[in-house]
Amino acid sequence: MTPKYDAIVIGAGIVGAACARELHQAGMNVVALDAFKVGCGTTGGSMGHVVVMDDSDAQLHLTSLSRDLWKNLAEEHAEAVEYNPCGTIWVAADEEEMEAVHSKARNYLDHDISVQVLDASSLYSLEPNLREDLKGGLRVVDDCVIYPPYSSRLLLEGIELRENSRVTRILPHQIQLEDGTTLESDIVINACGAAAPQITPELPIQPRKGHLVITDRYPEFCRHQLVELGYLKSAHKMEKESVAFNIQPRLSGQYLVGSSREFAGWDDGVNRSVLGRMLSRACHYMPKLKDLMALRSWTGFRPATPDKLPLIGQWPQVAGLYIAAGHEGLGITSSLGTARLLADEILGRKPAIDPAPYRATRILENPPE
Amino acid sequence: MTKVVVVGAGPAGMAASWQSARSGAEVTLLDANPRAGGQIWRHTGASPVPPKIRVWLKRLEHPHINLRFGCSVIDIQDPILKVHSEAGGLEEVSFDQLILAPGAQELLIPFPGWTLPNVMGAGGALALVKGGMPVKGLRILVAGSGPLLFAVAGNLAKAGAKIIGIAEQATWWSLVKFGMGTTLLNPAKLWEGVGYARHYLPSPFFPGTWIMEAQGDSQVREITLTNGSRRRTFECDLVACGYGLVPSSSLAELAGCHQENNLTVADRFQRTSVENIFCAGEITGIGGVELAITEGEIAGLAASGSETRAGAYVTRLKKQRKFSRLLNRSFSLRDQLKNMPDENTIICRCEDITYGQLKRLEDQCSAKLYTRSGMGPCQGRMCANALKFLLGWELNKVRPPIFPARIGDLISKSIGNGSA
Ligand SMILES: Cc1cc2nc3c(=O)[nH]c(=O)nc-3n(C[C@H](O)[C@H](O)[C@H](O)COP(=O)(O)OP(=O)(O)OC[C@H]3O[C@@H](n4cnc5c(N)ncnc54)[C@H](O)[C@@H]3O)c2cc1C
Ligand SMILES: Cc1cc2nc3c(=O)[nH]c(=O)nc-3n(C[C@H](O)[C@H](O)[C@H](O)COP(=O)(O)OP(=O)(O)OC[C@H]3O[C@@H](n4cnc5c(N)ncnc54)[C@H](O)[C@@H]3O)c2cc1C
Repeated sequence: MTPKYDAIVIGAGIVGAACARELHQAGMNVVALDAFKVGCGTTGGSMGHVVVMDDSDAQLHLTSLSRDLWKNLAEEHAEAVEYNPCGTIWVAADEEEMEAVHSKARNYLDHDISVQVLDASSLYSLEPNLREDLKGGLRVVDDCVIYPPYSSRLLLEGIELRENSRVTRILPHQIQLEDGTTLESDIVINACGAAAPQITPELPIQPRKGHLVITDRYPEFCRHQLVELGYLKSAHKMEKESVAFNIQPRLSGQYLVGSSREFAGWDDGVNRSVLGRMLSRACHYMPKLKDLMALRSWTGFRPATPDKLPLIGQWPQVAGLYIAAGHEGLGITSSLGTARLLADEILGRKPAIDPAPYRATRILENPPE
Repeated sequence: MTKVVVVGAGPAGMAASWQSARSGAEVTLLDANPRAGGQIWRHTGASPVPPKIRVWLKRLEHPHINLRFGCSVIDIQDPILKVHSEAGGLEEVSFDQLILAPGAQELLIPFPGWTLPNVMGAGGALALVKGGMPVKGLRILVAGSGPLLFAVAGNLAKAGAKIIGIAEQATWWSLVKFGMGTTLLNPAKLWEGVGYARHYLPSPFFPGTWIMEAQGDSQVREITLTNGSRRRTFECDLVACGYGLVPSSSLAELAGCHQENNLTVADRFQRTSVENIFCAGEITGIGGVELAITEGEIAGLAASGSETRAGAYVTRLKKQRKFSRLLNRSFSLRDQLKNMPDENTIICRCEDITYGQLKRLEDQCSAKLYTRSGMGPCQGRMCANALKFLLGWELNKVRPPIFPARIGDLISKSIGNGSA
């Protein structure tokens, strides 16, 4: 007899792990499956910046809900998630970007998010390794950094987990595994990130490749997660290739340096020219970065959707199926908010925030051209 | 003129460079070390070198060989190598034909106490002694497996150390077979170690024995050996250990050369699965210096368009390969060595991860994700091979740079400030 679960979560990346935990905490009998292992997908190769973003109101609502949830969790399990409450500084290189700092600040304050506008000299005193002619920045006080693979494991504590179990097909209230076995459940959640369309083909999710470099240990070289304001342009434009300055301090004294965006299918090789441009961009902001030793580089695939918002909620094409995928470059952050919204829907609870902008079904109504 | 670039100036790379230059190619020979010689022919340039090495050093003076020492190759993208030189930062070196001869690294199997000062790799100890480290009067135990232990013991003894023992994990019986095999296969001394016989012969030899534990305070003071049932403890000042060699295959792998069991696969002309990339020496299999030279000569000829002349080496190659197989069989590591580390033995020295933490996991990928093992400054260059032996874990995919590199050096000169 095949065991019967209340919910099956397919994909044990950070998003699937968060969903499994939320449903488990609501008393459901949950199993999480992964084709390989916990956090080995995009989650394992990412930066772990928990960040409020205000590209759109919808993005702001989801990321700020999520960040609050992360704060609670991370403060309780600081060591297990390698919590680093370092905050973010958005760095402005010219007057136009400084304008953006001010309007961003207003928007954040309207939403009760603590920020501090930095002029050039206070920016420089907080981060003396930045280039001297920058105009200032915006410090987002409560943003933080966690270590995604550890966090995914933590989220799955106490939950039945089946690794090395690839799902090949989703049927009404049922899934098929690669080894031919089937599992049944009222609720099935596709949380396979960039690979979600492999088992729900209608999903318009594309892998958007990113590179990262890790350095040796240089304690105190930089203290906040630093991101250029131009990052917003880079993340937003759906052009073929773009790079932006983004550096993250790890508790180990090492730094992750990013970021790049590229549509290159599933080719996970390091693109030396993109890597070179990315590092050059970073050194343009932090000239002394040139002398830090890079230990290694790697790539990961952001699950990108056409409208830059994740797909969360029921998928009526298959009875019992829900989607929690397509988080692009914000899945670490928005995993917890996603799980909350999904559970609210499944359990018929009052939603934490308006779920409409993220509903997976929106793409059926407005199919991407 | 064909531009042949050779990586590694050990015996294989030296032979390859010479043959390529003689066949009319323009050769660039790159090595991270300050001098030619590789592992076994390492020398300081100060004391006189043995005649055999002198012959090869002389050959490198060929006018069409451009010697570049202090140059580490950190990345490859056919037809360009990224080369970091101590003098001039990063540079791109292009090639028509490439010969990879990067040799092998020592396999160190962790055991309780292996992180104590003065416990070191056998090859490392050899390099230090050749570099002038004073060992006079030190009581040294040499342990591990393979003929290289004799070379190491011989060199240390010659430098005035007192070798308190050579602990070889292989059994007497396989040693006897190996001894017979080597005499049958090659009456000339195949292992230069034999040349040091008069130095190490008086030292006690313990076959079928391996290290259990090292004890000490500010450095190693005692070493305990076992043969699986009995144990013996000796006082000592230094332990030099090495459980065989593991090919340095990162560059070949990064270049996309087909690998089997971590060896780079080559055809009879030493050509890899990539059309214009050849390989020679220990990266094709551990087989000693003579085989490395033969492979180097063949690769050098083939890479410079003289494949027909490479045919002359077939018989020699066959015999040496046979020796190589015998070598690997005779010194294959016994399963009991997998018990050398205990729960608390640190495996990943960069991140302080113990064997107890690691052995509960499933593979190298989990270790990286859940313990950070292999993510420190050495990037698993030390522990990954040990874990492969201990737990059968496959190595992680190679990513550039293969050695740590300055961030500034990873930016090509043509790029401005990176703005899109
Ligand atoms: C370089 C880079 C940096 C980033 N930095 C940040 C950051 O700082 N902050 C942030 O918030 N976000 C960041 N992101 C984005 C974030 O990493 C992703 O949005 C997030 O990891 C997506 O998580 P996921 O669980 O949806 O997908 P994944 O982590 O990919 O998980 C999906 C899982 O599903 C499994 N799976 C796939 N197919 C099947 C199948 N058929 N059957 C069973 N299992 C299957 C996979 O094995 C995988 O484990 C970054 C991304 C990249 C690439
Ligand atoms: C301690 C020890 C003792 C030994 N004793 C004997 C013995 O007695 N008899 C015997 O026959 N064999 C012995 N061997 C084996 C012998 O070393 C090898 O058979 C022989 O040296 C192999 O030659 P090779 O040219 O393949 O590699 P190596 O001699 O290892 O040379 C490789 C060279 O490549 C360089 N290199 C590697 N990667 C890069 C890179 N990315 N960029 C730039 N340069 C690079 C290295 O610096 C090195 O100089 C011993 C080995 C060791 C470690």
